[in-house]
This record gives sequence, structure tokens and C-alpha cells, in this order.
Amino acid sequence: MKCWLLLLLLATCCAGADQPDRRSGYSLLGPDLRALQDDDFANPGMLWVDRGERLWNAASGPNQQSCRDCHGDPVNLRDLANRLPRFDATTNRLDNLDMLIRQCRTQRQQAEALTHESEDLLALTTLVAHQSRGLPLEVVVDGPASTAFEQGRASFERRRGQLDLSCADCHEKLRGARLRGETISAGMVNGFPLYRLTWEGLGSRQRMIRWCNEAVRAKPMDPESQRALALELYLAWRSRGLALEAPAVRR
Amino acid sequence: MKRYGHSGLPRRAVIQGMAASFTLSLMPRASAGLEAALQARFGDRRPDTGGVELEVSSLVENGNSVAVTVRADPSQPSPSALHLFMPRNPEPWGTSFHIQPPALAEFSTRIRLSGSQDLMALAEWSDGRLGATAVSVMVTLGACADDLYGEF
Amino acid sequence: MSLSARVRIPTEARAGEVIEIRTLVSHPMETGFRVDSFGRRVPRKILTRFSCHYDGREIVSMDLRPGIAANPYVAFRFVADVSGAIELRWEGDEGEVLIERSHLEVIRA
Repeated sequence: MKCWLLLLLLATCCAGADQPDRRSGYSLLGPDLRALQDDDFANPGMLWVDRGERLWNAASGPNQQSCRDCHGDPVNLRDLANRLPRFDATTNRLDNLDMLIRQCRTQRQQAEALTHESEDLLALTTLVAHQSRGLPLEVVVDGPASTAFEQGRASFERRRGQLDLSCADCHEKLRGARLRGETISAGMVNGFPLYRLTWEGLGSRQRMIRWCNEAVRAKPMDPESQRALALELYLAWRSRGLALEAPAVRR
Repeated sequence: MKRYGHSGLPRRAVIQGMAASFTLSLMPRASAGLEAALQARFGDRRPDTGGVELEVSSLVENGNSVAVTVRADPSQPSPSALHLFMPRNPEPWGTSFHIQPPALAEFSTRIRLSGSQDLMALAEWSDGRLGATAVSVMVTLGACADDLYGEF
Repeated sequence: MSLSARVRIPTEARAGEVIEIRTLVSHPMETGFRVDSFGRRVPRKILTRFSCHYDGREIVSMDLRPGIAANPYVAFRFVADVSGAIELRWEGDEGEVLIERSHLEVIRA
């Protein structure tokens, strides 16, 4: 009997450690903001989806190619954003959605580069991520990706900045607690790119990471560095199984 | 949770009474900004109570985007304009919505609130009469340094 | 982001039917009250006016002030009485104008 209880306790603890409270940030929204996200007309993020569609069809570069010329309808990329970032064994590096689109733009279209977090890049990433809406986040973290994944985990747990806080301090250990008028989120990244009312605009996962770093008074990471992408991979893994919501609405 | 200002429900008298007490007791100590904004738009005219409804959440998560609906009391003749004031904003005049038939005296929009305050909606009839209602809205503070501004 | 609109306008209605127009425009509605990280005031840049013409009549016009949220959302309703053009128009304080046109066909019962 005692043995059973011990086993049960152990199993619960293990499950608890391995299975963080994976609730989408949506669950922390009030009714007004939930309604805003759910309203496919009024959700302000849809402005970027619209813009993305226009860019998708726009020819550019010396060969006057558009995204559509190669990929057809955006829905053909439905099973992509939910699986990013991913490790590319040929280049030996991680890629996220922003980088894949930027590479496509400069290498295949040979068009002018899209700058990080620019409205045009956000429009395309939001359009593509929007295609995956409803699909569960599912990133590969073993095999060649395992080293980067462990770097990401270490980064998540490392204290930083003048406030000396790690990501885990707030979003793992204190998730669900109150901080001023808000509930501390579990740090799930299934809504990105998302419309954040604080920004009055759209932002990527990397913008949120930078914002968080700034909030704990830490030096922001270069959003294209492998270090930043490793953290994004770890965050995506923590959010595994959650349905992608792009473009989500958050406070 | 929605809160309604003046409405056509059986509780109308009570609500009107509450609104009246607002008009009488709160108006004088409303911000100087509101007083100036009303003066600028309406001169010495001051509103009676009622004739307009204001629908807004009583608890707001982020003041950067708050859903509001303003509509005239459908039992009265249609006003020529609806106005919305946010007395504690840097600029209290929020918007004015001008109506010609066959448009209905009703609009929805999203506004900014710089803090908790009593929103004020007014209906203006072509004969110069004004009707007002007020709804108290609480704006909560977000976590972390949400006044960060710049490239992040 | 450049000025662009999402609009939802019915194309058909019965005579006497109340229909709704919903609009969402990409615009920062920069209030003019904010300062940047160097303490400099960010200049005001807002949309100042929204209007709707239906069959040549201006049925709705709206003064927009800095208290309207970024990416302004406006919805309103009217009674469909005649078939005619619908023109939605936004004007900004830098002289920019955005127009969306549509046609409403009113079916007599």
C-alpha cells in the first residue's frame, strides 16, 4: 500500500516536472480580448494577414517572382510554422519562420532583404503562421537539434539582468501568481506573431523575448543569433501540443 | 461583464436616479479638462440625464484598446450626433459621431483610456438639447514595465 | 504600416432591413502625448475623420481624436432604403485619404 502511494506520488511529481501547466495565454484574457482575438474581422492582427497576402502575390527581384509563383496558395505551407524553429543539418544551424522567409527572399527571389521585425516581414510571417492556426506546436528537439535544445533550456533557466531573474523564475515557478493587475503567464508561444495591446502592434516571438529581457533589465539577445533561436526552440517545445493561434491578441 | 448606462429596463428609474446623482454631484468635481471640452463643443448648454446608452466593460485589462458602444435611447427621436468623452485622458474629447437618416444613432469603436475614470456619452438633438450618461470604468495595471517605449 | 482598410459591407439587403458596416484601418493613431526613449515628444499623427456616403448622401461622419485606439475600428448600422453606392472615407492629419467603395443592392419584396 505504502509502496503504491510512493509510486503514485513519484509519478505525479515526475509528470509535474515534465509537464508544465501548458495553458495558452488566451486562457488569461478577459472576455473582451478573447472576443477580439476570436473575431476574424476585428482582430487587428488580421491587418497584417491582409498585407501578407498582397506581398505574397507581389512579384519582386530581377526575375519578377512572387511567393505564389513557387509556393502556390499560402495554405500549402500550413504544416510549417507549427514545426519551427527547426535544425537544418546541412547548414548546422537553427532557422525560425522569420529567417526562412528572409532567406527565401534574398536567395531565391534575389530581392531586397526584409529587415528583422519590419512590417513587411511581420506581414509574411503572420500570413504563413495563420495558415497553421489550430495545428499543435510540434518541434524536433532530439538528434542533431539536441545540443541547441539543451542550450535553450539552459538559457531559459539562467538568471539575467539587473533584476537577476531567469525566464523560469517567472514563467515556470511563479506562473499563475499575480503581478500587479496581471496573472503571470506560463510563457507559451503558440500565439505568435501576435497583436499586443502594449505595443499597439504586431510582434514576433523574438520581439517578446527582447521585451522580456528589457523588462528584467538584461542585455537583449541578437534576435538572429543561434543563442536566441535556441531559446525560441525551447519555448516552442514547452508549448508543444498547444494549438497555434496566430495572430493572437494579448495584453 | 458589460455595464450599461441609462437603459429601457424596468430598473430605469433607479438607473436614471443614479445617473442624475452623477450629473448633479459628480459633474461639478469632474476634471477641468472635461469642463473645458464640454464648453468648447456645447458652449453653456449642459446635458440632461438620459437619452443615451453607453456599453463598456467595467473592468478593463489594458487601456490601449477598450470596446465601447454608444447608442441613443430608441424610444426617443433620433439625435443628430453622439459624443464620447474620456475625462481623465490627456484630451477628454474622444469622438463625435454625426448621424443623418437612414443611419441609426449607434456606433461601436475601440478607445484608449489613460486610467480608471467615468466615461461620459452624450446625445445631441437638432433642437440643441443634450442628454448624457456616465459609466465608471476601472483600468488595471499590467505586469512588468509596460511603459517601456522604443524599439522593443 | 501603410494605410489600408478591412471593411465588411453587405452587398444585398431587403428594403427596410437594418444592415451593419464594420471597418478596421491600419493606422498608429499616434497621440502626440507620448515621448520616445530620448525624452522627445513623438509628433501627433492621427486619422481625423471617417465618413460614409450612401447613394450620394453622407449618412455618417465621425471626428476621430487621439483617444481612439490604434488601428481604428468603427461599426455602425443603417436602414437599407435604396440601391446605391457606398463610399467609406478616412482622412488623416497629413492630408492622406483612404476610400473604400462598394455597392448595395436593395431588393423590393
